[in-house]
Amino acid sequence: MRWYYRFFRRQLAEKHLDAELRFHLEQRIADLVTAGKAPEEARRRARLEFGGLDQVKEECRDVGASHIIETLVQDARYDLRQLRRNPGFTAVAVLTLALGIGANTAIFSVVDAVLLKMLPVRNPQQLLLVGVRTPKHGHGRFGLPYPAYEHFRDHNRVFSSMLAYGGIGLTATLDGISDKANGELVSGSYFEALGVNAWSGRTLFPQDDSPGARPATVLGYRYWRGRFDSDPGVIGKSILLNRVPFTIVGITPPGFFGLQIGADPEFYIPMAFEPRLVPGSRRLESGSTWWLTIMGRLRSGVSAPRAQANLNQLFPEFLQATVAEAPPNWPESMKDAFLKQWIVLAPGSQGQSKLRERFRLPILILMGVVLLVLLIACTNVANLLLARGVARRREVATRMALGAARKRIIRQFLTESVLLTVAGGLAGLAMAGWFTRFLGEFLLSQAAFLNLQIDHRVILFTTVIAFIVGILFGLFPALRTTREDPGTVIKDGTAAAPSLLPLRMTLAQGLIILQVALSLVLLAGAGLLVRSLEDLEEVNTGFTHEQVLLFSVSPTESGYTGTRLRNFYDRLQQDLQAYPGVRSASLSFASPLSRNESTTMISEFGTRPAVHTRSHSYRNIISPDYFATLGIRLIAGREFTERDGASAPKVAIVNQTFARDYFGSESPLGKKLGYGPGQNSGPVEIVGLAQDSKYNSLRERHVPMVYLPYQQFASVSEMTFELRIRGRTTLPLAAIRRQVGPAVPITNVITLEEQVSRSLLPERVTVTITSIFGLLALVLTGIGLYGVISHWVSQRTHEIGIRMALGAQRLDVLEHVLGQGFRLILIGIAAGIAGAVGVTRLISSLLYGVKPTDPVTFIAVSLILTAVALLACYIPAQRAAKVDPMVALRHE
Amino acid sequence: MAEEKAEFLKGTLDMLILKVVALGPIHGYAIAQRIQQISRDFFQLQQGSLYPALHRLEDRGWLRAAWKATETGREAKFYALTPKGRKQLEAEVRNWEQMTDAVALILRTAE
Repeated sequence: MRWYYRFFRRQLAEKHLDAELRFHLEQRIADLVTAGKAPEEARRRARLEFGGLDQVKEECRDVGASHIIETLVQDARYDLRQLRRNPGFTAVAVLTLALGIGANTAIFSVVDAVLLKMLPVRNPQQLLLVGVRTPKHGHGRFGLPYPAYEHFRDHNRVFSSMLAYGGIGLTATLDGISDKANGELVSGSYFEALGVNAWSGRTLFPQDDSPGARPATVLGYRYWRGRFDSDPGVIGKSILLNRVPFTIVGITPPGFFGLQIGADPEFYIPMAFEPRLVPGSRRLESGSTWWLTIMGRLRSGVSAPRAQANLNQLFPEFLQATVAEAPPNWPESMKDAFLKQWIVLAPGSQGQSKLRERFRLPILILMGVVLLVLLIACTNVANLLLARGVARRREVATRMALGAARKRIIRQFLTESVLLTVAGGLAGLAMAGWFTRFLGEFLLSQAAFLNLQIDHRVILFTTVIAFIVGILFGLFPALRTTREDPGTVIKDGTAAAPSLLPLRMTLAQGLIILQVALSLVLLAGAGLLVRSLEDLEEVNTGFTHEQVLLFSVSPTESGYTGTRLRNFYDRLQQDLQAYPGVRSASLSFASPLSRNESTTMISEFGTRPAVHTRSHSYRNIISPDYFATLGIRLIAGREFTERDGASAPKVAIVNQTFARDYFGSESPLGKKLGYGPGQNSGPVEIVGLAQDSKYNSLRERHVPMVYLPYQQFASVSEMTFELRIRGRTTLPLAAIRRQVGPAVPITNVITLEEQVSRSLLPERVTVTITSIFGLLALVLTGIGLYGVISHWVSQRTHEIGIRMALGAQRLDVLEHVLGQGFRLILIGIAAGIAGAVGVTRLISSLLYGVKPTDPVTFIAVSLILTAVALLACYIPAQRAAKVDPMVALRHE
Repeated sequence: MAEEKAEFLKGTLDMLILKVVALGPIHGYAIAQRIQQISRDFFQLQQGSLYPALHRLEDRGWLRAAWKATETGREAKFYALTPKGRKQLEAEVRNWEQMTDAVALILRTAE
């Protein structure tokens, strides 16, 4: 029988019992009246005959075997009364637990979304990601060329279906208004292979994935809600994507966010339309453009290793075919390296996630941090309960003396602690909502979208945590309190039983030591991260952050190519430079710390590129005035100018690291470089030497960098403009919009300062969270210590009174009590340092400029912890010192 | 004397109730009345023992209860015998008869 059913049945039974007995009584009265008695008299006699109504009821109730849930409900009622009677205790306990549980819930929702959640597709465990390894890139990557996908799809014998997808930048135009959107090019098999059905309309089918088909696209659910205001009439409508008219045929289901975690594509487009969306692109034909993610669904009965073996049989055919058709200028070393690649399969059940790779460690660290906090919160509540248990010894002893089984009382204590955690858990869930939004904000800056709802999995996690916690911190005090012999307790009263006290204090002391140690670990971690962040913020970036505004455009998506594209960029740069308030304007493929990285194979012209050294460099494509605008110092030579046009001799500027790596101490000016397959660029003369500056991240050591003028580049589809402004000029967005026209959307509008600061977001959030929790741990430990020492003092008022009567001074008492606390603190700190040395190693990859065992940090946090702990001890110690010996002794 | 009767009744109360209920669905008050009448006022049932007994028998599955209207139109809880209850009654009656026979035998023989 379901317990709630039984519970409600119980309520009903109570009503029925009442009605039944009343009927009896009234029937008797009626009979007596019929027999000639006066109504008053009849009533009186009937009552008298009946006897104790409540007693009868009680006996009737006792008939049914008492159910465990019913006693639980009884216990819960009793405990609720107890808790309501101690609002201070309850509030502190619930709040402590809420913080602990709330933080855990929030972090878990992130862990779940980023690390654990399975794709919402049919049998996700059958999906495998196809990855490539090369002797050089041992860790592998997931991008493959489209012809490789076709080859696998047509010849494999291990997958029941295969699919491929790759991102594409889009400009979507509807009713004359253009917006940037992110698209996913998908193979025709994509939705069928995943088993994902349209939420409305239809999905894409293999017949859609052919150049001759009518262009069809499926909308992402979230995009449809946001952009189209959930208008169901959108299906069948036409929309321009990069100026190609597509028909919207369907909408994806709400829980499906694509296979790349954090991406949430807005348009799903058949692969075959790639060449029309990106004019001049050869991505579908090229066997050496590694861009496509491939997944396969295992045939039943086929193992992953067998599948991998099968693909590795097929892969060399593709590689050889590609090499055979390679342009004649491919150097042999490149062909060699090309042929030495092999396939590695990875589980695809969770989709593909760059977030997972990047944030795995910070997220796990946060999870560890919040678990530590929860542990501290638990010890605190355990200590509170323990102290209260001592106060309730007499009550417990009385109940046990009256025959209550120890088991029963322990169960009641546990019910109480579980009640506390349930309350704490509910408050924690509310807190988690708030907390998740905060976390989401930082993750969202790294991803288009993250599915961070507090769903049933998260609630299940919270519930499990709450119950484990409740039982964990409830059990010790319960065992402790019920261990004593009831006779002794009742006889001796609450204040005495001295032989038992030290035992109990040991447990409380142990908990305090544990708390101090855990707090130290947390504070040390937080301290190290704070120092790293400070160092990172101080890093010399090599460029000037202030007063630079950035925005990006991708005019190719609106049909600008070749000379028109170059003219577009030129005009815009000139116009921007003419704005009042703009000191200089430039454009580049990547702005500093934009994470738009690009590398190129480049070497001194005329030499064969060696495989290992001095053959690869980072690359940026820039306009004239780039260095002036960003404040990057030119050490020698010149910037690019308008004269470095498409037909002028090819030129390059390199940074210091490049110069040192390639030419040692020689001056790089005048040297010739060559890049591209077989150095098909021709000779490129170095005309300038720029100071090193940070490119991808503030943590990086300076990387070799070669700057090339965009006028000498065939086509750069997306460019970022940089404007150095005077004073507080804001970006003249409206004017720029008019200038570029409605067809070209403006994106990523941000100041360079913000962009630099945003690059530190993971660090900043980790620091903020660990610091908050470090402080929380500190406060909790202070409260815990205060509680234990207060309790200790109150237990010893008598003893202290005697000491003082025998001549001890106030200072002696103060010292005595502080000494007690200090001993605990010292042991805790020693244990904490030992623990921290072990734990901070785990975060070494997040640190910058400090060692995981940085002594300054360790000493500093130890001192802070000691100060707070001593303060917590000082208050009760002072109270002890104020004890009036006469009062203390008379009290007895 | 009253105390002796109460003691004596205790062991047989369940059986008497089952017997009375076996005649047809009947509510608690009527059961008490019926037992008192049939025994010609020998047994005066206390509510304190009747209702717990009824609840106990119901809990054991020997009686089944339902709320129905009495002839005066009031709602009352009517008890009826379940098949299990009928078997129990038969068994108890058999026991009782064997016991009284044995007791009678002893009393007669010892005379």
